[in-house]
Amino acid sequence: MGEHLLEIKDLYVQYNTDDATVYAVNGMNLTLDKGEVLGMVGETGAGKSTTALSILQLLPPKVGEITRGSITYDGTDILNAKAQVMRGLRGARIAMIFQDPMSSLNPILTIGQQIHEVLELHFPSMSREEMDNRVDEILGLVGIQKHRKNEYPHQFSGGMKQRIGIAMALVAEPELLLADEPTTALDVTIQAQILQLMKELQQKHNTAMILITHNLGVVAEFCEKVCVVYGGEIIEEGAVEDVFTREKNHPYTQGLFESIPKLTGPVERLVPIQGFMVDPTNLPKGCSFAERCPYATDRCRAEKPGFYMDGTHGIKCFRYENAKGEA
Amino acid sequence: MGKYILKRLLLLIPVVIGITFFIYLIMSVAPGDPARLILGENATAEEIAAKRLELGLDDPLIVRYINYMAGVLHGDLGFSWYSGYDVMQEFLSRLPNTVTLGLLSNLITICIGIPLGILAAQHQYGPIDYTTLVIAMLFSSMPAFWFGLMAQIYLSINLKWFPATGAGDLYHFILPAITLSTGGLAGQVRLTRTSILEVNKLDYVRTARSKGCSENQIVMHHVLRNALLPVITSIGGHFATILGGAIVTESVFAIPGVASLMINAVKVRDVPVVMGVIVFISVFVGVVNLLVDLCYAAVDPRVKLTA
Amino acid sequence: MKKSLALVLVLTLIASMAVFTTASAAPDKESVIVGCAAEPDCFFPGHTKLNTNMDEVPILHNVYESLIKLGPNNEREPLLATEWSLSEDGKVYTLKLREGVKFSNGNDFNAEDAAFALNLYGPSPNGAAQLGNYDFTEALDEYTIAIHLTDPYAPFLNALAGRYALMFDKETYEEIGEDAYNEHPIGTGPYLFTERVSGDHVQLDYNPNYWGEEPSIKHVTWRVLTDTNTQMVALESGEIDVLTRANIAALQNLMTDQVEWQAKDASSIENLIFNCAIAPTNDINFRKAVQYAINKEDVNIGVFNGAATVGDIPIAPGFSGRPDAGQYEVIEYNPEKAKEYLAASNYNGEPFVIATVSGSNDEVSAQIIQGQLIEIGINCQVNAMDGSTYNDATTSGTFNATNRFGGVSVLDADGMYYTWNKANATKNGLYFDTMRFSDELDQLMIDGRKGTDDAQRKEIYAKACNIITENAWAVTIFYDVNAVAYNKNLTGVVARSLNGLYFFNDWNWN
Repeated sequence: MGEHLLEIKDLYVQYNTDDATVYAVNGMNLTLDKGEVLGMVGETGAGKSTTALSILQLLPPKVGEITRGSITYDGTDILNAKAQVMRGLRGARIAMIFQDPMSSLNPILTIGQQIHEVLELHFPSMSREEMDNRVDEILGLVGIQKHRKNEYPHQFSGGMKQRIGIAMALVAEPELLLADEPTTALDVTIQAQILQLMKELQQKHNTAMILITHNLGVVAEFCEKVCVVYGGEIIEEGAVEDVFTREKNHPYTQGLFESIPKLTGPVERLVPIQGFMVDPTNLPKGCSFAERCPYATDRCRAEKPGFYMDGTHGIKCFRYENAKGEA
Repeated sequence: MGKYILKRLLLLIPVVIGITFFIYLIMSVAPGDPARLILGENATAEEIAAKRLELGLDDPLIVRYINYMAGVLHGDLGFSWYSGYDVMQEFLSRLPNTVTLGLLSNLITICIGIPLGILAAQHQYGPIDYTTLVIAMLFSSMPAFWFGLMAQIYLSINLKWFPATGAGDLYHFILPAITLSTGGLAGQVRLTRTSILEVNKLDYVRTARSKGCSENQIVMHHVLRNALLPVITSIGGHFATILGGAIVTESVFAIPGVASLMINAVKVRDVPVVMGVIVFISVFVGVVNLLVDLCYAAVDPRVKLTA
Repeated sequence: MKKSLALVLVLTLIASMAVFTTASAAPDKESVIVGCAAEPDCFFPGHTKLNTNMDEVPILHNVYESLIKLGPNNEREPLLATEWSLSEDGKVYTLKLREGVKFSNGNDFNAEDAAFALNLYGPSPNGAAQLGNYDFTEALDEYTIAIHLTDPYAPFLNALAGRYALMFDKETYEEIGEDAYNEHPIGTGPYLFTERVSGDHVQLDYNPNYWGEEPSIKHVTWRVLTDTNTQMVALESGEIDVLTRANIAALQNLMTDQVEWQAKDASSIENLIFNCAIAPTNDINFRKAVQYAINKEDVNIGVFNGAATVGDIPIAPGFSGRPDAGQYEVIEYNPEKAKEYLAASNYNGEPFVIATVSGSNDEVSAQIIQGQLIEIGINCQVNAMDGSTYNDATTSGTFNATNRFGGVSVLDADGMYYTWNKANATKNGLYFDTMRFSDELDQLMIDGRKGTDDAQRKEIYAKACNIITENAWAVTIFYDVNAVAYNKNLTGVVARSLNGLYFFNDWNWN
């Protein structure tokens, strides 16, 4: 296989707080190629955001610690990269869109200034006029009237603020876009608009994207690949068709699908996944889902399952051990 | 914005009335007869009575107050009962000294306090952080009269770098300004430090980092302006106290300022002088508060000045 | 960006100060800078509404001149009066005035001015306190005046050397009024009043039209330094050349060889005076207990490091009319006797409250006395207040005793009159009657004022002091001491009994 754009190998990340150590990411393996759109699904606290932040080395200093593994971006070793190298990557080649648009923008700078900043940082040779044009262009693309670029964030609605965030992330035409639940804080109608917008821009520039979400529907619509994260690990991964045909799924993924309310047929009670998310300060020895899994065996509880591949579809569960081989 | 400023200034009037009335009341009920003080120990009963009549000391309080304020509205602050000089002139001749001292000392507090606070925040929990806090607390704990005296002895008498007393050229104000600035230093450092640490945790700082800003750029463009908002308020508060607050420093360095004018007037119950100074101070504080609010609005676009 | 702006600002500030620096000028042989403790603000002794005080008086005696000049040992010298004589009955003083003297505005000084001035001063409350028994003055010819008194007044000539004999220009006064005269004082003295900057300084410059000898010191700057430490620092650093009314304890701790200082018995006396109308001080045995329980030596040491003089009667040493030792009774410190008196009294532990002025030497001495009284079992408390409150308090009779110094500008035993003559002390009943008076004492006070014969006066005052001592109406604690500190290169500075009498034209630099 050719060089992947992004390769995460065996990544372990923990948060060292005063009370306890939180093991947020436990052996994450991930690859992404140029132009690919990967959906990252999982509940809150599964370790999705942490992974994204790790790629950009944006973990809270001192508290967040990467203890094992490697992240390689286009041949660059991220975890050992110098600060200057990271600064060159951030915003220009890898960009991030954050979850809460209300707080992600600097309240005392105009939106124009904030988008401008990306260009000033990475294209210092660009003329003032060129930069202005670029800003106007990107604002137009995200659907904000360019005469509003001298207004301040508080003068915009939530949806528009997120568009500004997208504009900031895309103005330098990055190769990789990390979108951390970009629509979770917005209402449904706006959600659709934003996602549509992102899809258009992604297609236009062939940007690779990791779309983090807990909404399976969104993944189905916009992503080619999907990975399901639980307890800091990827427990299922594959093309969207593989995962969504529901022939073979990790029990957790199954549970996720079943807990979606059905619009057709008689309405019965919702079927949640019993139990609670695994405690990241106290991870079990065996499979992290074993406690909640209806199919769990003693082996599950004692031993960690491997990642069993069937073509492009991989599942981390002993039930699929006898598939075509291990990853 | 013009409407807002006008409204604020108009609102100042009842505030000034309230303060001046209150002070007038206190001065009236305080023990001590101004007439006796003015005439001296040898005055006879008749003379004292005549003086009291002349000064209107036996009129009802409200009448006296209204007469006084009527005069103020015409720009007439009256004459000192004790020295006979025109109150406005006395005040104005002292004002430049106090303002110079106040401005300079505030400048020092800001120029030393804010950078130290930034430094401490950037090296949080490190040795630099603790050192700056200890230094700031050390200076704040030293009483002005002691610090001033030490400064006079070491820097004036021994090293001859600065004059020890008096208010002449700018050189005369350095030691007093340093002495006066120490009091607010710890507060300034701590406030700046806390403010910066809080802003550092906010999401938009992370966004800035994700765009590729260097740490310096983050501090200068994103953190500082936001972190300095509470600092502006505290500076404004400090500044408002310069008109009456430097009494010890003025005394130690023999600077004829507004504070000593007022204190001496209080001691001899010289009501016109006390009232004159109070009127000025209340207006000054009101104006400074207004300026702080305007500054705030200028720096933070979220703030709307509702007229 | 803002940080560097601030940095630039500060650097510019510092740089500009380097440019503007006025390093302390090399000692100028013609100028002197004098430090004083409080702001001088009244420059016309004849002002009817304003009062002059101790800080202005030296300025007054250099801008104006009195009729007679008092030397350092209280000898009388001619100044604006060249000769004087007293009538047989002691009631008329005839003075010959110096001819050819002009005020600084060019007007002549003559008898008309002198008579006018004295007739203004005499009846005024403060003037009358010095010009005792004053009646009127008439000009006999252009350069002779006759001052008429209602009765003889022994220290009258001293009064003619004081601030209520400072001559001013009648013509100008009548033209511009007292307020304007106060702002631009005009006198015959060797110095002109150049300017006053509020709270900072008063500037005096040599009067080129002065009738007398040209002084060596041509410029005097009178600076205000309210804090004692600041005064010492200014002396040490050379920012002032002379310090009047200097604090002796501070001077004794001064460690520099650039400064010298002198002290002299002052004209003020500290007395502890009882309010005999309220308990427990209405009991003579109690008062006697206090009399014997006070160790005045200790007070002297505590307040002045021993530099002052322990007191016995309310007349300072050196005052005219003071009885000789042996003529009057002296109470010696005797704690045993004090306890006896206390036991004999009706005292039951009630508080004995002494009123005094805070921040003064009187407060310190009251506290020392308090300690001494507590030792013999008296529940003594000290209530120190600010000046205004104190004035109110003393006339309301709420305290058992007051501890306060009082100055006598005429340097005479007659100073007692104002405290011990009932009518005067209570302002004819206006103030609370502290019941420490008697008709006999009243009469002695009146006789003492009028007396002309020295021996006779001494007897009168000896009697008066004994009455006070026997009745234990007051205790004289100490006689104050005046100190003046000056740059060792300045000669001619002499400590004076009266704080006002520093004559700048007597000084010169080496």
